[in-house]
Amino acid sequence: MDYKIEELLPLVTWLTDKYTSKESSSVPYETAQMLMEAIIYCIDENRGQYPVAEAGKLPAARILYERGYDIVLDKVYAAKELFEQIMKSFEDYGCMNYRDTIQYGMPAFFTNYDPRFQPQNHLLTMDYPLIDGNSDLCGADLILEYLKGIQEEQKFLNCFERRAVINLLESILPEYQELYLDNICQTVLVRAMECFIAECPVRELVLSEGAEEEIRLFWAEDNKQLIDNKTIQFIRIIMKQFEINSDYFEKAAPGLGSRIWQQYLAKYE
Amino acid sequence: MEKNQDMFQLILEEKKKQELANILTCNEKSSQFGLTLTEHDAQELMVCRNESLKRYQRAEFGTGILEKLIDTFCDSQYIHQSNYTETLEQLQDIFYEFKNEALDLLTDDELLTFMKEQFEGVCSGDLEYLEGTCLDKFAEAVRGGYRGYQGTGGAGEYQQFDLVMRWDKNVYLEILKELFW
Repeated sequence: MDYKIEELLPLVTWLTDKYTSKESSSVPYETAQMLMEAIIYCIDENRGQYPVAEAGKLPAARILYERGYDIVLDKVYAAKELFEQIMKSFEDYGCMNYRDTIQYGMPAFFTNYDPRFQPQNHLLTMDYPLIDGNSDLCGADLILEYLKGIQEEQKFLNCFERRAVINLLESILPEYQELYLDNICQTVLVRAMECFIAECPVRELVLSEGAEEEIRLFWAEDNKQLIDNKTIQFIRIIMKQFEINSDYFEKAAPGLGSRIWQQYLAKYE
Repeated sequence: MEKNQDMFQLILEEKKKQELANILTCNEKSSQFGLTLTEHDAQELMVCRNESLKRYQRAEFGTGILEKLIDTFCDSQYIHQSNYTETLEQLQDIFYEFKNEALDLLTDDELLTFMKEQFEGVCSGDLEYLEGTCLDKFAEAVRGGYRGYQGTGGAGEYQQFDLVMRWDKNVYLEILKELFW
């Protein structure tokens, strides 16, 4: 949304009056900056609705701001509903970082998020990363996208026995409950691929003796690009097998490919 | 960062247009106390105000504080035509300084009420004392969590923070009795 700063000033003035309840005629630069960002954030929520070619015909900034504010509110409600759905069957596998981020951290967002004055501030650090890392979005946009990711990941993890996931995490890091800070899905998905290659039962997430060498030989001739391509194919096969109709995990392929390359081939380079 | 500076510069430019007329309108009230501002004085005040805002990293919207400052202080016994503009310049600088020092917890009215009361009272028109002692102690208390001013609107607040022994009628009468009875 391409607005000149002059067009936004009346909005900043209005929002500042609201922020100070008209009891202060001036605010620190940081506050003025925060309120300007709040306005731009809400206006940007309308993106996609007004193509660049029609920039000259854009509605008044105030109208777009109010529409954007409503969109932000809708996203918060949607995120809240999604969070409640996730929590009905949420499993943290004993991982403290996962539990703290979702179960204890997320309610703080819904309690303290300020869509009027700081819609760009999502308040949480979200220490538990999604399978392909957290996006560059901010505010309600980020929270909604994050929760959608968490829901997809929970669906995938639910395809495995709780004990199988815990055993896998313990085999990687015995004190995983306190110390494991990575994404659980990533580890499970890599192991599922390994099981697939070594023809071990995928749902059990356990490799038989000699399987590692078999897997290394499988990847031995491949370069990074080929590993990425094969990883995408494996992800599709595994998701199909678990009846998960989503391409969410495919975007994690480059990260998983790197992990496989590091684990099996980097030392032979 | 450059964009931010543009934004704050634009805010100041926008205000400039309407503010001069508004400040001069304040002469109607202040002239009752023998105080008036010329257009040149008003412009000088606005320039100083902008410098203060930059110095204290604040952005001002709407009508600004100058009119309120004039309205509050024009009946002061310590302000005369000869020191009117200069005093207003300093008062507005002090005002912004202590908005920051009190972490923006004081409203404009609370801060102005406190400033006016001390200026007329314990400071006897001394701006250095107002800034360096009265406001300094008050802001320190506010930063430390004191919120009593919310009930009083900033009036009658300084006594509890004042470390100087002031005039005490009872002690005076006691000494008087000792001396003459």
